[in-house]
Amino acid sequence: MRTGKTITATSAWWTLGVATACAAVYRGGLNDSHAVAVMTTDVGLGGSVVAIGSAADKSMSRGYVPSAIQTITITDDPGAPGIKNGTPIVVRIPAGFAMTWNETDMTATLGGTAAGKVGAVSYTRANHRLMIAVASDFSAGDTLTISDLSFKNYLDTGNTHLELDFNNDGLADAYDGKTVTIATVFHCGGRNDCYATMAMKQDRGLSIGGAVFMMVRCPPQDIERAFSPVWRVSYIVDGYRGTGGSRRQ
Amino acid sequence: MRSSRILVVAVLTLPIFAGIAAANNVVVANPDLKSPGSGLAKVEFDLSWDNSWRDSTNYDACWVFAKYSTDSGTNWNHATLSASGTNPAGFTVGTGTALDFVVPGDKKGAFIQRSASGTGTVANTDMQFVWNFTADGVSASKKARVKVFAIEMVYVPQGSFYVGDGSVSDVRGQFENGTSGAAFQITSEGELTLGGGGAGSLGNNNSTSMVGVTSYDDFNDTTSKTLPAAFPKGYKAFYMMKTEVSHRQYCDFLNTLTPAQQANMEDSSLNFNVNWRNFIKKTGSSPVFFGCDANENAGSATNANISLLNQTNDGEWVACNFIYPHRGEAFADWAALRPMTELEFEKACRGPLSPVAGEYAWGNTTLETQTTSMTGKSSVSETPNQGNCVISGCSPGGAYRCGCFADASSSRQNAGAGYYGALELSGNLYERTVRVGIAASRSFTDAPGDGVLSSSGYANESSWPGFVGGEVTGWELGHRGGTYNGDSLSARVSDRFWAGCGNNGLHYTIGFRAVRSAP
Repeated sequence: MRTGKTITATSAWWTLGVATACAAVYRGGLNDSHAVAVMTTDVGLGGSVVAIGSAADKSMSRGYVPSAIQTITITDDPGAPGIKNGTPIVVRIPAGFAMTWNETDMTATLGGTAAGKVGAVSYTRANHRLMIAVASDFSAGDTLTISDLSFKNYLDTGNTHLELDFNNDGLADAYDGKTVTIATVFHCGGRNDCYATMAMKQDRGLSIGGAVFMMVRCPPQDIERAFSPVWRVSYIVDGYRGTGGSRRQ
Repeated sequence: MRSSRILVVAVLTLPIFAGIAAANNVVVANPDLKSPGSGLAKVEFDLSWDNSWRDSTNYDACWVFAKYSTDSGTNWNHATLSASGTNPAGFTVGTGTALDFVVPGDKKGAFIQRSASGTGTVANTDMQFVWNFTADGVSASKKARVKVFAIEMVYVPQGSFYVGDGSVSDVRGQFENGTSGAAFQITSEGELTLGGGGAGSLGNNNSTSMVGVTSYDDFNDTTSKTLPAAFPKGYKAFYMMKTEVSHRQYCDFLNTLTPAQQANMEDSSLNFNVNWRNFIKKTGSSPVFFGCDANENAGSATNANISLLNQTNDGEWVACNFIYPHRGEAFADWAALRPMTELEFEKACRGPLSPVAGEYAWGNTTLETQTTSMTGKSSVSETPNQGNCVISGCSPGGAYRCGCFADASSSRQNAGAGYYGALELSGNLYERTVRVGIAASRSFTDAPGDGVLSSSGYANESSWPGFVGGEVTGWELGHRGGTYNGDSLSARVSDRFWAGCGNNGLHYTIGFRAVRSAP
């Protein structure tokens, strides 16, 4: 039986007597009951590390017409190359991002050390994926540049990063560090139209009785310069009477 | 009689508090990823905690789980382990105490616990569990880092227990057997009849004196409802967090969320207030970092100086308030735990023992002389000078450090502990519990969180209270166990004054503690 669990006032002495031998279940001390530790550097997960990077961020206003991509560079693992003959390289527009590749662009300009190791381009998944055929294994550190392709139907707003699936296994292996941004087009609205009017409900006389009424909007020092040494006006406008001015001190 | 009894206990226990030497003090260190291959990688870490035990009644454990990032720590996702069961292939407890990895079927984490009877400090190095990163959709061509989290838990074994304590005075909705006024014994997870007055039904003293009598508990002596078999009743074994969620624990949760998720898990202006003892501030620049500032030297609550957060006296270890129920549920989902039911709450307090009318979590009606001061205020060693329960009348006011009454030689009463070793079940901050008295909550099951929140930061477990439109946004959890500015009645195990209420309007009094059904 666990110590202390049925203590009453009359058994207080008993509790004291066993206190030093009580179960660890009720002991404690510093801290709370929580701990966390985090790695501060990244570790590879065992596969080839293939990188993708665009030459620059890509920004477009929302629209449909084809817009040229920034040159994309794919770099295979410098130690254990992973791009293999017969397995296409896939460059994906992230799922849910409303934009497509321009499927009429069937001829990309290819460059880099691996330019001769790849073949035709094609598009799948409703033109969300660019497929680049691979004709021979890449060597360590091989690079492939891709240009003269384009996006279209970029109807989303916000930004995203292109994804690389170099071994066509369906998982994103790397993300482009540059962004593709579709600028917001303002279509906001609410009630009413874009027109407004308001009429005075009473007539007002147009005469100003024997005085000049002026309305100016300028810094006080300019008023002083304009009306030096003393500026003082009186006005009577349609029954309203008053004075105003600025007096040099 | 009562006052003299309290005095005697206080005199006897004061010397015991003088000698704090040990701590639970769970620490995770040196996390690393090892031996990646075939879609798996070993997550290695060191783990230690003090005052661990395993005896014939139960044991404590650490719930250990990992979050991974494939973008150098910007975004964090829950890691799925490779296999379930006890000590699955590839898992190793490293060097140190004989321990077991117990991995539930969903493989969202592991309970690490003593494999044999014993007590004392656990300090194991080079422990490893296996992350199945392919199952999480992570390419082997990625680089990754992990955060390893450990939460101290207590194991509550399967068995019968009582709800209600047979109180005949200060009756406030306590459970009873039918309309007898006597405690009700739960002997299985089978379906129960709530109310109606029939023999064998779980009554609630006709909802007497509960807040919102007619709107919150939908059963009474004449109206009956059915509590489904799938609703966790506490009969089956479960693990419970040893203490309430602390400030740093909640901050660590916030600091793994996206900005959109953080926005719903923190208040727009935060609730930093030293009188309420809420110490959370955040930095103003992106990425936002949440930390504590009890010593009030870090500047604005929403534009704090990061270098002055989380100092040695910044209150990180104090139980965290303002955890609204939907936030508590989000924490539970994120940690792959779940909310507890109010029946499980009573079991964790009382254990298998016969109830004592008006008892507190430590099994009797004795409130030790209340705290009048503390040492190490807001530090890792914050310790009250006396007392065993944080309720109205304690000084200083506000919630106290998690586990503050337990020391190197404390008894159950001294520590303010429930039967199985959970701390502060009475007082400090309200526990938030799944209600039996509302239809929407009776569909709750023991399904744990999966570590994944909605894009808005909410829990998204469909059986959980407050689930609306794909997210847990409702305030459906009730209150149990009392709070630092509440009276002693609310701190009683069976008191249900606030049990049927989802929002008591006093958000500085509410905390959270999660559980998980045993595999």
